[in-house]
Amino acid sequence: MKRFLFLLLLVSPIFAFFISLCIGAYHMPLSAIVDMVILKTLQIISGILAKITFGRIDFAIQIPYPSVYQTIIFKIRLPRVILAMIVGSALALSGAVLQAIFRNPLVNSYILGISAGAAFGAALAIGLSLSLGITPLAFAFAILAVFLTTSLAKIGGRITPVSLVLAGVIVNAFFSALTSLLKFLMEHEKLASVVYWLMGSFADADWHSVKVAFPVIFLGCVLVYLMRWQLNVLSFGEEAKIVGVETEKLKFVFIIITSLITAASVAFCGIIGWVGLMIPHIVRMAFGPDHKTLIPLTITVGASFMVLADTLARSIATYEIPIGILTTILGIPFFAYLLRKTGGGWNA
Amino acid sequence: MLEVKSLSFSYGDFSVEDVCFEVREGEILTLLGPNGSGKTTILKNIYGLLKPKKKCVFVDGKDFHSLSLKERAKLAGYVPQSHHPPFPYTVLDVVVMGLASQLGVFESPREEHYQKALEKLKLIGMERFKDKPYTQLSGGQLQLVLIARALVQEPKVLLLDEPTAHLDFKNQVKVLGIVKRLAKEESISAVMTLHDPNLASLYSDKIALVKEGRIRALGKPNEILKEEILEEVYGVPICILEFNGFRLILPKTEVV
Repeated sequence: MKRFLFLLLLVSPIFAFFISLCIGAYHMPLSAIVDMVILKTLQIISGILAKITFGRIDFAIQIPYPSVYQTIIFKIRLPRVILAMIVGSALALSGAVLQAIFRNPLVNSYILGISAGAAFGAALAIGLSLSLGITPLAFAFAILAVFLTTSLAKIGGRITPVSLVLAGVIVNAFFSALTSLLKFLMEHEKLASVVYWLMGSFADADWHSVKVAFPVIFLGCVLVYLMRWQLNVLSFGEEAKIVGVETEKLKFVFIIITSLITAASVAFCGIIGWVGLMIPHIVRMAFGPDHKTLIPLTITVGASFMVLADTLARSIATYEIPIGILTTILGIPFFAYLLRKTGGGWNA
Repeated sequence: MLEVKSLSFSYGDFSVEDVCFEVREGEILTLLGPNGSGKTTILKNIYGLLKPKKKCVFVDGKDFHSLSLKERAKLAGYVPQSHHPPFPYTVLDVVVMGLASQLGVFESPREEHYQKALEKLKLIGMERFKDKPYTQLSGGQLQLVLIARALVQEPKVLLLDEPTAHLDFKNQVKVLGIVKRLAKEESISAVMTLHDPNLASLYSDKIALVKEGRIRALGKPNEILKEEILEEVYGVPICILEFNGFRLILPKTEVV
């Protein structure tokens, strides 16, 4: 039974992917959508093969569906669905990694100051109407905030769980205050954009955002997946040294990876809370703490959860509900239920 | 063979000075002394978890501290005082972590590694607990699991920090009995710290009496466990009774 559920959750992103592609204001039959996605994939692959072997493309596989179908699926829904999935994976995975290496159940990647840094970057871009756009600035300040937090937390060459949380609180407070100052000085329309951005949304997803975010997040997920067993050892803290693990170096590598994938997520879709905290906890409560299973499941469940939440966000009402609000409202009752039932899967 | 040659260390106003001893294969040396005498500090210095002033630890003639953590873990196991990790890993998951030094950073343990961990659990009679959450074990069982984790490293040197702390009488005898057996069977040089002179006397080949960061006496139990030395180290009046070849060390208290 547990084995079956494990496999089901592992492949759940495939189902979530097609469910989300089907749902939207414009109705299309499922068969048409599956057909189109398969044909499009073949078209791209054959195109690449043709280019490699012949140096040019003489033919293309035809997709026998109306162009309005194709526009909606390939230009609007597909990039959004893909972005939601990779962001879900990135946020959930970062939470799982940081909870293990800092041995603290309350940690997610926002504790590193990422959310506050990104928020300030976004507010700055909106407030000054910078032509650069929100994303680069949000990303830059997210990384700056992580750098500040980890430098502050490093005492005597190492970062302890307590010093990290305290440094994170300091950096978060600093950037929040700066953001508030900007908001206070801003015109009303701009203020509305900032507030909306802070609630998180995939409404602006396009192929450009996927092209930038996907390689970063994919690489991060692969690296963490390969190194996942080290998280078991690192969660023993200092004791990891006596089985031969260079704890400080390894922690540093994990912090870099989680910072990059979180910043790449936040820069495109704003602050989406709770996923990084909730998904790893849920998976741990259901399947136990061994990171050999926890990491792959966190990646897939994060992706499925986020894309389904986003589907609801854009289809539940005539207007779009900010996804950050929805992830919390949807996730929290389930999280609370699991907490009562399993006692948390931690040793308090 | 483990050699410690004039180990010195200082931190604040506490210092360890000129600790020297050697432990041959199959031998157990016990660092015995009162609380705060520096036993654990010496043990951490031997492994290099604390940095001694100069190179002073040699395993089979090799400078131990010049090795990386990974190489050290292949030569020496360290059994810390048990504390709980944040997650309820199974006993087998904890024991297999001892193999971290033999796995690359991108590797996870495979069937053969779990088999090896299981073998060591069998060796100490804990295999039936393999799927139990580590956090639900009793103090004695925890200590044995940590010993099993050190054993999968197949160490030549085993360092044990108060292996009998928080254990009841039965478990003290059991854990030390296993340590003694393993040292002989696996030809391990073991160093452990203990509070209790009687346990030290029963299970050690050599004892180093530690007071204020210095070794006050070093030798076989029968040679050095004498009333005047123990009184000096512990600061209480002591009498020693001989019974069937055993030496019983008792405090001279005025029982009312």
